[in-house]
Parts: sequence; structure tokens; C-alpha cells
Amino acid sequence: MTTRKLTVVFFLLVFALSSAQSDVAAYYNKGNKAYRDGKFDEALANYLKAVELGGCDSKLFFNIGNAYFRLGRTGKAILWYERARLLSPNDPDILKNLNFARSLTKDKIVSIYRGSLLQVLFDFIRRIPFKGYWFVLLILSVLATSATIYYILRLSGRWVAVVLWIFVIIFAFGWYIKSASPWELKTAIVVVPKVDVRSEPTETGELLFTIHDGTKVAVKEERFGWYRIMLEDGHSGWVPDSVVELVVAKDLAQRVKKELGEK
Amino acid sequence: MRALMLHLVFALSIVFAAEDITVTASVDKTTAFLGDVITLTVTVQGRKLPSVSAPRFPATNDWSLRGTSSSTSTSIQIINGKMTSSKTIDYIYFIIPQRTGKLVIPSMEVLVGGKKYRTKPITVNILSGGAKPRQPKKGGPSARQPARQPQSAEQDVFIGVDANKKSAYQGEQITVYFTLYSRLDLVNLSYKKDAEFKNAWVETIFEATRLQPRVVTIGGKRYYAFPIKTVAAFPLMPGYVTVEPMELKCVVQYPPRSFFDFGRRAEIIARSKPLKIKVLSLPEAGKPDGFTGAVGKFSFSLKADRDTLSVGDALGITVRVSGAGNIETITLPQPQFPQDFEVFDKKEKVTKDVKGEQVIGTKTAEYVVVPHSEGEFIIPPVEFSYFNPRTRKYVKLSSDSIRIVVGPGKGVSVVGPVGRSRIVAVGGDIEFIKPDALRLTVGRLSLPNGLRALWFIPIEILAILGVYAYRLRYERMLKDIKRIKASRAFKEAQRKLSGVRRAKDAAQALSAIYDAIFQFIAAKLGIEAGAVIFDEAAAKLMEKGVPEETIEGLRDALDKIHSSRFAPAGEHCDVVELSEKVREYLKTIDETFGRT
Repeated sequence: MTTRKLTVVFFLLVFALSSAQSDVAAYYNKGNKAYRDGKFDEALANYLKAVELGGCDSKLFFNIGNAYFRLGRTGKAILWYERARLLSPNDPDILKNLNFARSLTKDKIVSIYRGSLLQVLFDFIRRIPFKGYWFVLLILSVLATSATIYYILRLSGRWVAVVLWIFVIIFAFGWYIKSASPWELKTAIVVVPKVDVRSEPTETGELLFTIHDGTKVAVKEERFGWYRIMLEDGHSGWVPDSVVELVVAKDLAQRVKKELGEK
Repeated sequence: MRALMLHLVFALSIVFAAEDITVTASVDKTTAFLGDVITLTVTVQGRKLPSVSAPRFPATNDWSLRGTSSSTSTSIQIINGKMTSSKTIDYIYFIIPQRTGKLVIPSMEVLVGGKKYRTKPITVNILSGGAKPRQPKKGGPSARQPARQPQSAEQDVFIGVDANKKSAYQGEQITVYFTLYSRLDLVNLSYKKDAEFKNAWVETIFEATRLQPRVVTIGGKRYYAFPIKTVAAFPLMPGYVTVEPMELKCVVQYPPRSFFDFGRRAEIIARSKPLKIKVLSLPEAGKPDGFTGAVGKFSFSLKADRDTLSVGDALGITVRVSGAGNIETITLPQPQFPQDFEVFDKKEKVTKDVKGEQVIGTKTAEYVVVPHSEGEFIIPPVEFSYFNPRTRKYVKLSSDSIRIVVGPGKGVSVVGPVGRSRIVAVGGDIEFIKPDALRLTVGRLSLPNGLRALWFIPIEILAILGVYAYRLRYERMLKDIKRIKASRAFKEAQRKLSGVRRAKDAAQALSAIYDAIFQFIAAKLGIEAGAVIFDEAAAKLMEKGVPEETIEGLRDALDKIHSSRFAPAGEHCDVVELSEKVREYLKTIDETFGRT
């Protein structure tokens, strides 16, 4: 491909991205206006249309959470607040609304790690965003590599390289823990008023316990349209995959399109 | 004519000398029947009148307000050819009494240049009917005709009034010209009554400060024509604009009729005729929503004094309409501020000027707003429309939207009163939605996670290994060079020593032997030739197993070279024999290295 063709393709891509951003913002702003007018159904429809067009912004997810909250859908509100928190983990508004919505849920679940150092560590790691953590790890490893190469060529600065590599190893270990935790990327929220949790992935499985709208679970396994879920207090069991929604959904736009179609 | 002007300069009378602002209220009758319309006039008068806000007729059960009107007039006096003026604004209210008895028209408040003035209450006697109310006697001093005014004087001195158009749209500018015509010499001139405009807002665009006549012929008679005043009138309502007569008090000099007659002076009241101009209502077809009565040609803008600020900082937003037309009477559109913005103040300002005979100006509304939350806010575009009488079409203008970025506040400490109490939350709710945005991030909700996301670490390790391999290869290459040099060292030394026979003299031959020894040792030990110190080199050769007598033999040879170099000519040692000995020593060393 010639340089000219590459340039044209590049500018077309930039234009398409910019156009998509503007379209998403237009639906978002329409949603805001409807929300301000008290038309929460209309606001939600506009916000979801923005997501369908590819919108992936903490502001948009936060406002969807608010619209669901105003419509009395606490579980859905928590789900979208959690999605907003993934993108902006330290936004005080998101944390406040998330905590407020959680305080209204029926199930009060106490973590088995509550009060322990492990809980403090988990909380700390959870508060660091994936993207930020990844970027720090990248910078650290580049510095350690540079120091090592310098040592090989000049035969000096050995300890700088060693210390930097120790940091890289510690951070990489933390990264592994964060990635492996089911409470990071495999969390899901109950989005129906009441769910019976069963001992096996069938309707005939023994009823173990019941959870309600807005409860946060971790998905450990997926089989035949059923999720094996785990609660923070250690309880686990099987639920149909339609009653909970994963916070990190890669096919979010398709899911939302389907939801809008159903409406 | 110059004499006439001088007369005018020195002899004009004073009508007004109002220094202060006066606000008075009056009624056309103090006794009336129930149902009669009473005209209440609030008069604001002063030499200079800054912005005057129209007084509001207070809501009362005794009176019913049926309509309002206003008029502006200016009284002038000319001294030494310079004109000073006093302005009068009349606000007229048509009120109808609602019951009989002594009714009081309450005091009314007028704001003149930011200062408050109040009128005095007026009592009106309202009768139930039957007996005709007693009207005050008509005919005060102002109504009296001048006793000395001859009948023919009105034909000699009069005021002409003319307008630039016979009909106009509501709000469209009408230009009215007042000209004094005289066949007699003018000695003294003063205003008696300025022209009053009914159903129009007026702006004076020309007022004579020096009288400059031109000669005109009217009905076969020559007159001096003096332009006195030009006024721009903007009709308020459809119907008619009425221009009431202007009256000027003129003292004229009659020419002498005989040798013994010195002429005489007379006071004449010059009057204009009333003028009526038709006012058309604005067309309904194409009238935009939100049209507020602007007529003319305007430009429009909405601006903020900055686009970035912190929570709690004040932001200035200006709505501005500029152009030619009824700028004074137009209503500015109001911007829509985000909910998180508190609107503190609004100041309206009008500046006017005259271009040609057209009133131009700018009307601005300045808002002071304070954002209470951070984020990105959009003040949506504001629309303004006007009617262009030339094209007879409505024009709709729209401003740009304004993007404001509000950063976190600097923190404001509020000192409360003594005895303050802790705030107790009585309710809880979620935070409000995030504000409007111009762009939002587009993409997939996926995060870098797992070991796959650390793809860069293997690349970095490979890079390190690559650099290390390069370093090893480089070192090996250096070693190879030394090894080659060492293996060729004896051959090189032999070549040098064979040159001894061809040397020109003994000194050159000795130098060749010396170089051969040191270059051989340097090559064998893998060091630079210049860095060889024989004692250190001897120790290293011993370590490598070179026999001691060989090393000592070399030392003797070097001593001989040294001593022969500085010996007198003819006392040199046998260089050929010496070179043969050195060859033997170097061969022994070469063989020793070959064995190891």
C-alpha cells in the first residue's frame, strides 16, 4: 500500500472515530436533558443508545446507573455504577452512589475476610485501576531493562538494575493476584428481584439459599447456561445466567442492543 | 443675516434652568364620575436624565389600569449661540375609578440613574353620577395667545413638520424633521412647547446648536428656513403615531414703514401643525417563536469571559444585540444555564449613537453565575430574531454554544455565627448525573488483565539476552586478534632482524633489533608495544616457562643496544652477531609459548 493510501486510511479512521464520539455524546446529552425533565425512561433509552453506538465512558455508565436508580431498578443501577467504577475507580460520585444503592439492597452479606489484613490488601489492590497498574508495570520493566543493558555494556550500575527487577517482580506478582481474583473481572450483579441458588445447574437442583436484586456475586464457572456463583461470605451455588449480569461484558454493545430490542 | 444671528445670540430668553431632577405626578381632573377615564401623568424632568425606569402603577382595588403611554420632550435655551437643554419624560396612565368617594392615587417610585424618587399621593373625588363634575377653568398662561401677536404673523413665521415616511411598521424608525420658516428678522427665540409624540419611543438625533438658515420660496414668498430638530420615533403599537404641535416663542423685528418709523418688535408664537403617521402591525406570516419585537437590522452574540474556572469562581456571561433599530425597546433572550450554576446578578446596559439619521446601538445583558460542581458544562445556543422592514422578512440568529470546564474548588472557609449547631442529615439520595459533554470515549469494555497483558516482559528479556550475546561476541573477537598477533610474532621479528644487514649504519641496525624485541614480547603477552616494561615482561615470560638464560640473554642484548647507541662512532658492537643471538632467544621464547 502506498504512503498516500495509508494516509487516506488513517484520516478516514480518525474521522470515523471522531464522528462516533460526537454521535455518542449527542445521545448522552439528549439523555441528560430527559433526565433533568424527569423523563427517566426516555433518558435511559438515549443513554443505552449511546452504549449501543460504542460509548464506553464512566460518565455515561454513571448516568445510566442514576436513570435505573430513579426507575427503581437497584440491581441494574449497581451494575452500571460498578462498570463506571472500573473506568474511574476513584471518582467520589461513583463510589457514593454505588454505596448508597448497595445500602438499599435486601441481602446483607459479610465478607469472610472482613477485618483481616487480607481484606485490606484486597481492597487496596482493587482500588488500583487495571490500566494504571499495567502502565506502572510497563514503565518499571522498561527502566529495569534499560539499567540491565547499561550494566552489560558499561559494567556499572548493577545494583540499580537488581533493585528495579525486584520491584518488577513484586508488581507482577500483585498483577497476577489482581487478575486471578474472581472479584475483579468475573463479578456479576443480580438484576432480578429474587433468585434461588441451587446445588446443581438444573431447575431440579436442591435449593441452597435465595439472593435478591443488587447482590454482588463472583462467577467461578459457566455451564449449560448456568453460572456457578460465589458470595463474599463464602456461600456458592448455581443460578441461570439470565438472572445476573457480568460487570465486565466484552459484548456490551450487543447486549444493550438486545435489551433495547426487547423494550 | 449676520445681524439677525447676533440679535439671536444676545437676546434669547430663558425658559428652563433645571439643575436638579424632579419627579411629579398630576391628573387631568380631580373630580370625576364613576367610570370616567382619568389621565395620570408622571413627569421626570432634568437637565441630564440618565437611565430612567418606567414607574409601575401600584395594584389597588380602587383603580383599574386601562393603558399606558409615554413621551419624551426636550426644552432648549440658546445663549450666545449655544444651546442647553432640559429633558422631560412623561409616563401616562389611563385609570378608571372602581368606587365613589375620595380615592387616593398612591405614591409611585421612579428609578433615575439608580436613585429612587417618589411622587406624592393624589386624591380624586369620584361622584356616582347626575351632577357634572366641576372642571378646573381652562386657559392658563400657557394657553393664552400672545396679546401682541398680529393675525398675519402666523403666515410670516411658522414651523414646518415633516416625516420621512407616511406609514411604518410597529418598531420601525420614523424620522421627523422640524424646521422654522420666517420672513421677518428674528431677535429672540425660545421653546414654548416641545413636540409631543403619542404612541412612540423617541430619540433626538439632531438639535440645532447654531441656527444656519437657507432661503426657500413657499407660495411665491421668500422665507428663511432654520432646521430646529430631527427626531427618530419608534412606534409602540399599531395605529397611529401622533406628533403634537411644537411651539416656539419668537421675538421679531418688523421693518420701518416710513422715515419716521424706527420699526417695531413683536412676540410671535410659531406653531407646527399636528402630524399623524400610520403604524402597521408586523406580519404574522413567518413570525419566529420567541420574537420579542426587535425591528431593524441586528447582530447577536453570547459570550463567556473565560472557559475554564474552579468551583465557586464567578463567571461572566454576556448576551449582546447590536445594530440599527429600536434597540431601546427590545427584550434580550435569556440563556439556559446548567442546573449546577447559580445565577447571581443580571445587569442590562444600552448604548446608543446616531449614524447618518439612523439610531444605532448595543444592548447587553451581563449575568454573573457561579458553578457549584466540577465537570464540563454546555450553555446551549441562544436564539434571537428580528423583523427587517426593508426586506419585510423575519431574520433568526443563533449564537454558538459555550463549553465551560469547571475544575475543583480552592476550598472556602465559612465562618458561622456564634452558637451554631451541627448539621443533621434528614435524607439521603444519589449524586446528580454527570454534565453534558462534547465527546465521550468510544471502545469496548475490556481491561488489560492476566499474564498475557505482560507481553512486554518477554520482549525485554529477549532484548537483554541479545545485548549480552553481542557483548560476548565482541570480547571473543578481541581475543582472536591477540592470538593471531602472537602466532605471527616470531615471523615478524625475523623480518625485522633480517633488515639489520641492509641498515645504513649501526644506529639504524640497533634500532631495528630493539623494535623487534619489544614488538615480539608485546605480541606474545597480548599488550601494546609501547606499554612493555622489560622487568614486568620478564616476570611474565618466566611464568610462561621461558628459560632464565634466554631472558638474561635478551637483557644483555638490550644493555648492549643501549650502550652502543651512546658510544662514540666506531665503538659499536657487532650488530649482525647481536641480531643472530636475539633471533635465537626469540625462537626459544616462541617455542616455549608454542608448547604451552
